[in-house]
Amino acid sequence: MYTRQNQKNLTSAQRKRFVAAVLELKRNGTYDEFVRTHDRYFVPDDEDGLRVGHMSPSFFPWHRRYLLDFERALRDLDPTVSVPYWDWTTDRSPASSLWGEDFMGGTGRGPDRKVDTGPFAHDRGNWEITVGVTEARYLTRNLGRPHKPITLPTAEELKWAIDEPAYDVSPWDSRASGSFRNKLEGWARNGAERWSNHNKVHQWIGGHMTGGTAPNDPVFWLHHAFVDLIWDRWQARHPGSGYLPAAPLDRWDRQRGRVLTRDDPMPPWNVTPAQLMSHKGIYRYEV
Amino acid sequence: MRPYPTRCNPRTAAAVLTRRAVLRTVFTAGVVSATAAALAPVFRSRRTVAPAATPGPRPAPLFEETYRGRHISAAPAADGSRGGLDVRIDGRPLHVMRRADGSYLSGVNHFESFDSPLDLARAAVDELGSVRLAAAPAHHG
Repeated sequence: MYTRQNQKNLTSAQRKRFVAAVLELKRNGTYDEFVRTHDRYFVPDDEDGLRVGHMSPSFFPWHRRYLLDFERALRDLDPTVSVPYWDWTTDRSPASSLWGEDFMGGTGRGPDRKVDTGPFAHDRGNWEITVGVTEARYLTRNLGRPHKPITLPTAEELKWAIDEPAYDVSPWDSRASGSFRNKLEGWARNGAERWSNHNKVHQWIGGHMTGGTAPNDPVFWLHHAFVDLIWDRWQARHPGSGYLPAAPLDRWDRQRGRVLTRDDPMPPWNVTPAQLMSHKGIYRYEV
Repeated sequence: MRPYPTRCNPRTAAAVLTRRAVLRTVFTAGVVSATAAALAPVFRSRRTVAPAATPGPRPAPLFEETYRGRHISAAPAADGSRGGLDVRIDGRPLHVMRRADGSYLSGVNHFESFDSPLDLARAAVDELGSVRLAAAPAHHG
């Protein structure tokens, strides 16, 4: 049993060890396999295929297992390391220590969006992008999206999602309304705001984080550790609610075979959402 | 993948709309679920049929313009892929996908969608800055 800490509480030595383990996964090729996996499993909800990672109820369990795999790879290298979480409702500024020289590095300043500070700056020689949709071989970011400014989700916006008692609801995709999953994933409209929570964080960071190869940016893991923690908070807030759909969908349901019910095996691991409801005994979150 | 966006092929658009209208009528009439089950495959098959290749010259572009110094264009996709559209930035293909609500997503913007291919292409340019798309983009498996 180990602890995932709030990134703002990491000591300088812990930051250094986390970064060193990530750089080693990059060096030995493991890291880019993770990037490919995320991209491969992004299936939009207009398509007929099975959606596991996005626009579907298994958004939470899929990313939980994905992060666990990544964390296991890190801990094989250094058993003192775990994935820290970034609470974007409190650490809201590009000047936050999250984006410090010894941790994630800062934004991409020029028109080329190139991150040129911190351990993941291309010029340091340790962070070559090999999986992406652009020519950029360097990590890109655009914090706060200056050409069309946005702000990170607020505590109030997060509460709007967590207060929702229904885990998910038909049509089980990006159109679902009254769905905790869709309010947190962020396709659900929040008042005047078209996007929310998880999606908005990807947009706020910009660069690689807005695409299917988002894990090219190591902050991806810190963002999704917080998403994972939010699932815990929702469970604690609604002890009577559980993963939906719980039972196989009706024969005529157009989402049958396109989303996972609680006991369906989830690719690429063949574990069920039910098996990932709890992480008790594996890790806990620092509060 | 969807066939062409309805606006670029009036004949297809009319056919799709007619079929939609028929289905809507059937569903709203409250016909027994057995009928719905029988129709469901028909309804879904529309989504998977690739449009036939159009003989003759390339289809006229839906739009073509210079936006923030970048050349952006969209035309119906010849092979029915990329969400039915061939969107390009400075001649390089932008991967296009659709959401269930009909809006557009791109390889550059996976976490927000856009009402039109033009909005999609402009948003990609905004996000790219001066970065060029790859000549052969990564594909979803």
